[in-house]
Amino acid sequence: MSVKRFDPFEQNIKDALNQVQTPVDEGVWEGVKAELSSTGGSSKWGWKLAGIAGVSSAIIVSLSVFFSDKDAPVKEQTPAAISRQEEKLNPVETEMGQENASFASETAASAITESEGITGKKKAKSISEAAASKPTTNAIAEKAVAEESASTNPGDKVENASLAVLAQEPSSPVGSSMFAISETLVCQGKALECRTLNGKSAVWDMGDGNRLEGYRIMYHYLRAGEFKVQAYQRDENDVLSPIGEAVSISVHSKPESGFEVYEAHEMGKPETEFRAHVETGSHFWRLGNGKTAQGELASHKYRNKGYYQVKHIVHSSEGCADSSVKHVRISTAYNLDAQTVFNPSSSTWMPEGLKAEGSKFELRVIDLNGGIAFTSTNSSTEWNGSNPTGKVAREGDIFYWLAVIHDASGETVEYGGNILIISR
Amino acid sequence: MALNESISLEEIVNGCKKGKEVHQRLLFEQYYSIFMSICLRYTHSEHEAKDLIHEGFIKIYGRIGEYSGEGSFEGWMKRIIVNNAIDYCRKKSASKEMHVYDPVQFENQSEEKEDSDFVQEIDQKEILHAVQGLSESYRAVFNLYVMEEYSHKEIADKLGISVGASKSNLAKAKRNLRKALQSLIDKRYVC
Repeated sequence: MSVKRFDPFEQNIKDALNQVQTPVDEGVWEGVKAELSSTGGSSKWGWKLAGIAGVSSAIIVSLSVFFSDKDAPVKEQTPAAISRQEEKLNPVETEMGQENASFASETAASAITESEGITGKKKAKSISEAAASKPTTNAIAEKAVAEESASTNPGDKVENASLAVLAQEPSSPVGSSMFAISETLVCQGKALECRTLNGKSAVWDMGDGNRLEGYRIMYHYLRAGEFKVQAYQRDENDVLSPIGEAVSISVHSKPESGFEVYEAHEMGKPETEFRAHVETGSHFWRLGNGKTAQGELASHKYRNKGYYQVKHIVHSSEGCADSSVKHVRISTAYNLDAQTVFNPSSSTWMPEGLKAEGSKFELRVIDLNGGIAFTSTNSSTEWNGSNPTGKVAREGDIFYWLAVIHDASGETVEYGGNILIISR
Repeated sequence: MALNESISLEEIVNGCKKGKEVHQRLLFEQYYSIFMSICLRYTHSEHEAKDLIHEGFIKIYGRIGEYSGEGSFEGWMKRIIVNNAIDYCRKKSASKEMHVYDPVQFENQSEEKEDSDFVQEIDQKEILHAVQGLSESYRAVFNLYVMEEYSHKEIADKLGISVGASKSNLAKAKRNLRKALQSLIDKRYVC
């Protein structure tokens, strides 16, 4: 490759332009940062919009949200301290309430009967449509269950699969040679399917005082217990005759999901605790940031402020499940509770979280040029504000810190932030 | 890691690849001045330069996963910044000016032998200001030829013009620049 030769004029201009220095513009950085954290912001105007806020807060701006990815919260909405909205995902019992279950079941059953002859998916759809078009109690219950199973959240799949375990893994259809019942063990609120094998309509005594008529029915028991299902055929004189033997159905009670949220305020360990309302059963938590937990009592340290959708799923020993969701607002980002301002003349600096954690860690304090001003692997070795050459940071200087923690479970977690040096 | 060291560029790059904001900020901090100087040269004002550097850094962070580690990382980033600036110039000049190669004028100007030492008396920022005052197409060719050291063939390919137009634009850029800088010197002696 040949070296280009410039004439003296070109060379003088080149030399001069190569010496031009421009200080970092916080407004530009704020704009870049805003666009990076958004999903589709306009690049052209980003720095201008952010600049207004960015310049004014540049000096004391806290890079409080350092690591995005999975810890990103649901978009923050209000500045309230901590608010919780509870929403029941499976409103079977509340929707059904004190309604007349018999009438509802008959309505649903007759709608399904009209779909005789339709097979496969189309039949299933017809059942769903029937339920949707007749918003009676059981129909609503069935719709709610279907919606829960058809959740669009991919993360729900695991739980939903287990929620539906009894429905999807029935014992072999039982009954006589005349009729079949999908399962003999069923959870409260879950659909039980009964059908005749000869394709003729039957009257179904569900054993709980309710009767339904149809070739194929879906039924939800409202209470737990042992019930005997008997099918009857109606003759031309309207006389009912039993067909086959009665079948015993065990309906297990559904566990009740619900939980309370507590923010612990012990310095350095601002954990958020989740306590289930019931102790029995096995508990699973999805914490809204990709993390999960198990047990009746769960706790988690959220790195970022914001709203998180926390889902609690409880399974009974019989395999019945219930779930509930709360939107939890985390008002204090953990980030190791590190101070963002530091006065070297009056104190030393070490994130409170590192003192309280007790885990192995590597801490680095870095200047704006990337120079490492301080390192520590021991929480008692705090930063005094000077760099390795002994030069003490001056007021207005900004440093960054990075901490890598190896916790007891073997997981490595990274935190980071900035520090503004003050003199008083 | 021992003290007296800097956080390595490799660590900064890896952090940026993971989307870590501290590392993104450190990269921004270390290269802002270099890249802003480039953006200022290709634009008419600081305002436009900020738009360009904003876009440039977004592209760098967005494409940093493509950097394989081979070759100079600064060079890789600089190419993104310069290409972004070229795109900007191309869009702007496409809507404004057409510069036709004038061989007579070009040949005459290429023979000029004039004093260039006076440039050293002028502040860098005034020189930058004079470069910014050139028209879009003159400024682009001047930057690519003198600062980025591209050949006229490469400039022609990048800007979608002929080699002759590139040479002509460079000559005109230098003539206008010389005139602008000379007037700065002249003004000093008016009073």
